[in-house]
Amino acid sequence: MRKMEEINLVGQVIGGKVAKILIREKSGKKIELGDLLAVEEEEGLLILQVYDLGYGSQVSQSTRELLAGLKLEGYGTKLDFLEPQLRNYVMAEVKAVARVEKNQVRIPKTLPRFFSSMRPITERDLTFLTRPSHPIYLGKVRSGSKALEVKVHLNGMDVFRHHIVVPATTGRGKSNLVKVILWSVLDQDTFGVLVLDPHDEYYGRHGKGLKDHPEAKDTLLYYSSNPPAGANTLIINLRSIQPQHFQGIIQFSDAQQDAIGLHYNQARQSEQSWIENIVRGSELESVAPRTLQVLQRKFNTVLGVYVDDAGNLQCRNKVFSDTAGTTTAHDIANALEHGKTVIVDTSRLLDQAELLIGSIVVGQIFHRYQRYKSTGELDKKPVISIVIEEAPRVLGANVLESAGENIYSTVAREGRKFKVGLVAITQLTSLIPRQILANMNTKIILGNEMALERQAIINSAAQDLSDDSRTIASLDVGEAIISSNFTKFAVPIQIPLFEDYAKHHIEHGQEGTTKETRRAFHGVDIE
Amino acid sequence: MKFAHLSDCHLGGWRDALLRETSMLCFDKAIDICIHEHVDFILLSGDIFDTSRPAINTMERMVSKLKEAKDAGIQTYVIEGSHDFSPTGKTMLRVLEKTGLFTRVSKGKTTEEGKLRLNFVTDEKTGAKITGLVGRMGVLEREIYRNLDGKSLLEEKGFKIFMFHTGLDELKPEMFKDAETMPISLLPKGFDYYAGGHIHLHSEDDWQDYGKIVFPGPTFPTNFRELETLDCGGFYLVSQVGDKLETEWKRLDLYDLLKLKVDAEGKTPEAVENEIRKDLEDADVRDKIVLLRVDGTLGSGRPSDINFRELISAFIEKGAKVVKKTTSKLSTKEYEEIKVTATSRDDLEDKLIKEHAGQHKLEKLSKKKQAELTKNLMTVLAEEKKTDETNQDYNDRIRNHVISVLGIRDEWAELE
Repeated sequence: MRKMEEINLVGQVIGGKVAKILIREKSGKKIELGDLLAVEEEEGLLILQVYDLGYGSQVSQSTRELLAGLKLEGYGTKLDFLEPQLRNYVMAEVKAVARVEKNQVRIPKTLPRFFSSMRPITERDLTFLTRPSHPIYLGKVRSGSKALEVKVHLNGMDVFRHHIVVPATTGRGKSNLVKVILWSVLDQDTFGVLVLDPHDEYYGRHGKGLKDHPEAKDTLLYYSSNPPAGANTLIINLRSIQPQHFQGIIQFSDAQQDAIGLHYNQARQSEQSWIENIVRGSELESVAPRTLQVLQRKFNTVLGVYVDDAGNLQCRNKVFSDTAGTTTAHDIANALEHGKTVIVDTSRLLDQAELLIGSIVVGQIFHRYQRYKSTGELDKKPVISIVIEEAPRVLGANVLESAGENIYSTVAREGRKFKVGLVAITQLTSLIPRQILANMNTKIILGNEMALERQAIINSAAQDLSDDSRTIASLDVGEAIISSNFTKFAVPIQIPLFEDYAKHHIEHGQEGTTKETRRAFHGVDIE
Repeated sequence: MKFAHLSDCHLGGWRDALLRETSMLCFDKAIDICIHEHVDFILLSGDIFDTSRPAINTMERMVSKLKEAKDAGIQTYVIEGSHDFSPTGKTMLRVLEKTGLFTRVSKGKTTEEGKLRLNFVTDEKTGAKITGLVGRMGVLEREIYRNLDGKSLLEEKGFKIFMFHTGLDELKPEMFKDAETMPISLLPKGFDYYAGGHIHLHSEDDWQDYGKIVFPGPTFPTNFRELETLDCGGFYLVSQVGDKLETEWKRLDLYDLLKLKVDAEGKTPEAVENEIRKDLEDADVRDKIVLLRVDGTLGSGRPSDINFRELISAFIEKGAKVVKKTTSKLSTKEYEEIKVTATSRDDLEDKLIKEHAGQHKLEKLSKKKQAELTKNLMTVLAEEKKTDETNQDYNDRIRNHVISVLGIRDEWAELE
């Protein structure tokens, strides 16, 4: 073992207690908030993280004030203490986050020795961070604001099914992070990912996006009401919609629910569309005309479905149809089950229509997976992950209280048993009930200046982040902390800029794959 | 302008001689209607034959019927479908085209950018401009669509028809929900009429940014399930009235169907037999195609204990034209249930190939390419010996096709 002094000493333990170890910074060194430091021990290595900084001095406060006064008032600009580096210094508060012994990581339960020397962490210290067999790439280990050449992967098989929360305020790089995650799993058929994309930002219609992945042609599907060439039209047949799909998404009175139930049963028997019957105003004996009118208005508002003057059923947003789109939900569920990523561009839809479409698809895949579990087929199926933006729309406490449970909250509570998980993106973590947050075992925490939100994140984190509120507030764009049941400690990371990551992957990640040099148009007579 | 749009005739497809003949008669009837209605031209959107190398008598019947149309001044335009197509490129449709009986429209050239620029064939009588793309098993033609020069097709002026033999995701009927299809957005834009094939159910849709997208369905159902759900085949007559296209689906129902469904749940094979016999007594089966479906789980015994041979003979004796039965949903408590989720032979093949692709380490071949190669090899190896072919000729022919599909002609020549 090399002596600390010979390496790159930055400080020494001078006191403190568990979770608040005090170190004195070596003069000339700059310890940063969030820095990862290492103490070499007989048995291995102790990794510590800086969470606060302050001044320390051997000189009394009044003497320091006097010296500053003398300098400021021109009595001696060259005045200083004898050996100033010994008398004034920086104190850092650090906490031990991991103990590494023979490449095994454990939660530290003892303090480092008094006066232990500390050095910045190096790539060699982190060799225990290996690449799992089904990796999700998140970025590189970050020490303070410096990224180390150590890639951070999580095992998607665990992480996706146990849900991920991405809490952050606007502009901190949420969509960049999600794009990096999705890019890294696009060539793995062990994951089926459904992305409900209300901002149409993942596919890359107008710039770089997931469509540029070398495997995208075979593994990415894009549904949009205005699809580019090769993409699918987002169109859902009204017959695909069942009353349960509205559950927790749109509120109906008891009378309206009864009317829906009656229309649904009647239409099923006669192989008609119950929504079309309601929109057309088909009367049923037990349904009051006024109830029917309210339902017509609701379907007009939410689905954009109405009957025109010529008596034809019309849909304003062209997403719902009485003729086409019979198998859209089935096709999406199939694609997910085959380990593909499906982006649904809902940017032209109202909130409720977006959530309803999600409800139809998620309901279908969730119920399929429930069936697979009962038939013993689930082990062979890929893990399904559902990316939902502004998650409190469906997981918020007030929403669940007023509208009741919905398919998303069901997935949040029970999905992991059936290999179905959520990636919930939110600015307002505090709106999600603690019980649901506790079920979400991985949090990728980006910068957040709202103390209330930081506290909600900290309260539900997999590791003790009670001292990290300031660190979270100071996270810059692209910086994050991963707190997960599947990491031994809260790992600070630097997320790459998606464009750079994609470019690098395209340029360097294609070794061993075939490139078609000549296109063959089989069956076409070529002149 | 008036034209007819047919697809999925699958001539020569049924194993049962009577149904094979009925299928042929439906085709004959369709062409007769075309002649009677004085259509300007006929579109055949793929799967005219059930195989790329149909039997001589099947070809003879088809040729003589299309000759009648030609003699009546009606030109026919054709594309190959997934059943007509051969990975070696050698199909009977190519041979027949040389006689001038019809025109295959799937022709073009490669642009400098490596894209496919399709040529238009102009119908002399009407000036309609027609082009199209072949269909292949497993929608392998998707790659061609991705590399299509859509701009040149869009810029072409005039009344344009695009023929294709591919199911479309957005318009896929529920009964074909597991069929492989492609998104509409891969079709080239700017055509007045999209003459589809491959989907065995008739439908027509006006799609935003596209013209009328039409699938006529088969001229005669091609399997038990289709007989049960479609009842009959048909085709479209399309007339241009002013700026609009008016369509009429013509039914081809040359036969009566009788559908019998027996619930075998909890019953003995003997009880099921008695029930079928009772149905036979009560029904008028004369000259009818009888569809017998037996579903459920037998209370005892096995499905094979039901003497279907005798039962079918009884139906025939009473005058039934033909009897088709299905027991695909009939099981017994005595044996473990075997799950067959595929809806057709093609579907089952696709599923099995996909499941097993990648098990062999084939260098430089992705799973998808492996599946494609497997499918092509299966098609070639399924070729049967012709009646006028010697064993040696047959061996040589199959070997040549396999070499061609594997793309190892040079290597083989070296070995020889």
